[in-house]
Amino acid sequence: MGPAVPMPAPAASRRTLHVEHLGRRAYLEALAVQTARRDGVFAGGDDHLLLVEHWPIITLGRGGDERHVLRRSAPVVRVNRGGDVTYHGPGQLVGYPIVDLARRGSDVHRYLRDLEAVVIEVAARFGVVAERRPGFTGVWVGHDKLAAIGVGIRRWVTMHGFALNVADLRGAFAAIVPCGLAATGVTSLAEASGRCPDLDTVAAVVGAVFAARFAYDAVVECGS
Amino acid sequence: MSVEIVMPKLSDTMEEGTILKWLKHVGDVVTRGEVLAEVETDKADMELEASTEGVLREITVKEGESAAVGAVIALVEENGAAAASDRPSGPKRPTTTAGARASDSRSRRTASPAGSASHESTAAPASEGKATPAARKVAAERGVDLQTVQGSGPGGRIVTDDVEAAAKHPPSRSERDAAPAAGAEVDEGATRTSGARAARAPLVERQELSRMRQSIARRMSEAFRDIPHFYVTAEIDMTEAARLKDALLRGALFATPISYTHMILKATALALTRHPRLNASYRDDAIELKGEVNLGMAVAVEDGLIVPVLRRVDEMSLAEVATAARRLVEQARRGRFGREDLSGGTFTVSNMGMLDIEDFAAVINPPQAAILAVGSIKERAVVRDGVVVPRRTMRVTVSCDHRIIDGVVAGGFLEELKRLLENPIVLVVHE
Repeated sequence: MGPAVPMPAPAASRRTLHVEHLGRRAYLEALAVQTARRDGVFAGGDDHLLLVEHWPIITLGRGGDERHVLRRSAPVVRVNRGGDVTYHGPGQLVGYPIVDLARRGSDVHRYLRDLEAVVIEVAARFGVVAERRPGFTGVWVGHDKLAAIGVGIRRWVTMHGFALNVADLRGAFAAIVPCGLAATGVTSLAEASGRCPDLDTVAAVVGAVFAARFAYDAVVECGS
Repeated sequence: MSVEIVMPKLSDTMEEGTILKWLKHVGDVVTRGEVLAEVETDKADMELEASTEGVLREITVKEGESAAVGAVIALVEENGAAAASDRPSGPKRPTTTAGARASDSRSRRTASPAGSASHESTAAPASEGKATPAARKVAAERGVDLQTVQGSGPGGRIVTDDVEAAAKHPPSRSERDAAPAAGAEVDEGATRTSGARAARAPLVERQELSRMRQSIARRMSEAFRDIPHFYVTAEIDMTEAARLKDALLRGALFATPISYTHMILKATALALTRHPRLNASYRDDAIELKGEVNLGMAVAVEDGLIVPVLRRVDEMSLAEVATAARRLVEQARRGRFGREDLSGGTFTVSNMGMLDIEDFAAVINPPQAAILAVGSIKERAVVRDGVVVPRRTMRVTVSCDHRIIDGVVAGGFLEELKRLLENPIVLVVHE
């Protein structure tokens, strides 16, 4: 059966997603881009999805416990998102959706589940069966974390998002207790599928899957 | 009237939320849109903004505690009712922030010259009565608030001299605000301390340089360390050049439209053939003069710049310069260039005209001896025959290696460049 036929959306409510490929950027630079895009959405602008690879950095959510940083192998920064501690670095694709949730039902939990669904779908495209673990936001392969999720919301507009491990990052993650959960490992598309996909390829798939999951009418791609 | 702030419903499936942090404290003034608290549900943090104005009266759910959706987490006393409260300083100025209110309540003490409690209790309330009539008259004339003046007369009476002194040295805004502002900062610091230690450590993010950036860093250090630079600037009237550019465009004579950059490149090549010392290198106690003019063009790319080289510009017509320059820049931007495209330059032109800057000085690109920095073309007020007229001008600065070039040589080059660009027809007829 085909999809239910929706009422044709009036032109004014057509939703456009801008997918920006930022390449490899410092965390602080990407944070500045996020803030600028969020200001744009506050002003009524289109939603954005920023896709970026960071230089090594450890970030703590607002409620994050510093004791979960075992080794300061990279700069540590506390940021305005939920969740505990995580690591970003080369080999990981980070997605920052700047989305106005007020335009889509104002439901934070549904948004988190949608982000998980996006990553699960992307993993499937690379031959990896990933899943949710009820009560533990994120995307998992068995008991190992494939993608971390942490979101910051102001006036229903989102910042931050998800970090999908593409290359094997187990060495880098050894510096922290991921998400504050001891006895959890991390995994990656490379480890789970047996071959390491190209980051740009993963980024292209993430953009397409995200746009489909969130049912945008149009997608504008830009960036390197 | 008290307004209840409740745990917001951030999701249909949300049953309770956790207060991560209160950004406002009991007694703080709250204005609409200000963030009161950070609420966490699952892995999402929501900044809870005030939808009312008044004074935060009570916090019922503390940091780290959870509450059900809809449960009261705080009470805000709205403005009207708050005036009758036991905290008069806040509600009277509902638009001020908590920090400003704190300063307000402290400013009186610090504003008084003596700054002591004893002064406040004696001089301040009595000041009206304790000023001489003459002092009061002067105070009225000079606009001095007697409340802020300490008397030096008998019994602390304010005399004319006190008022004069106060008028000369009024407590400045910054003086008045300094102490309370510092206090407000301390308050803020205290909350931060209780919050996150990691956030307070200065963040330094290390980013490895790309190969291109490494190469730029090495070459620029070398150049600036080894070459004694000096700089000469000239203003060039581009009004005629603008006219010629438009005429050529209208005539559609050339396959590639001529831009200012093309004219500047052509004029630079011509001027260099007449001033060969700027088209040279210093090496081993000798000047090596170059038999051809190969112009490097600085092109900005992602996180850096590259300098593709346009060869034998001295032998090119303006049309040829335009075609070759356009092709070279396009290739460079697409990253399609070979090693030979980037080497062999004898002089460099760096044009920042598109960025609306007046002028700038560039660092020489070794082993070259000089580089030309081009500013924006703008309409500026210029004196012609004793009359101020609007003309389109630009400023160019040539940086020179003083080991082989002197000011007079650099000046001669700029003079020639100016002459060519101000009489640009020469650029077209010169094949």
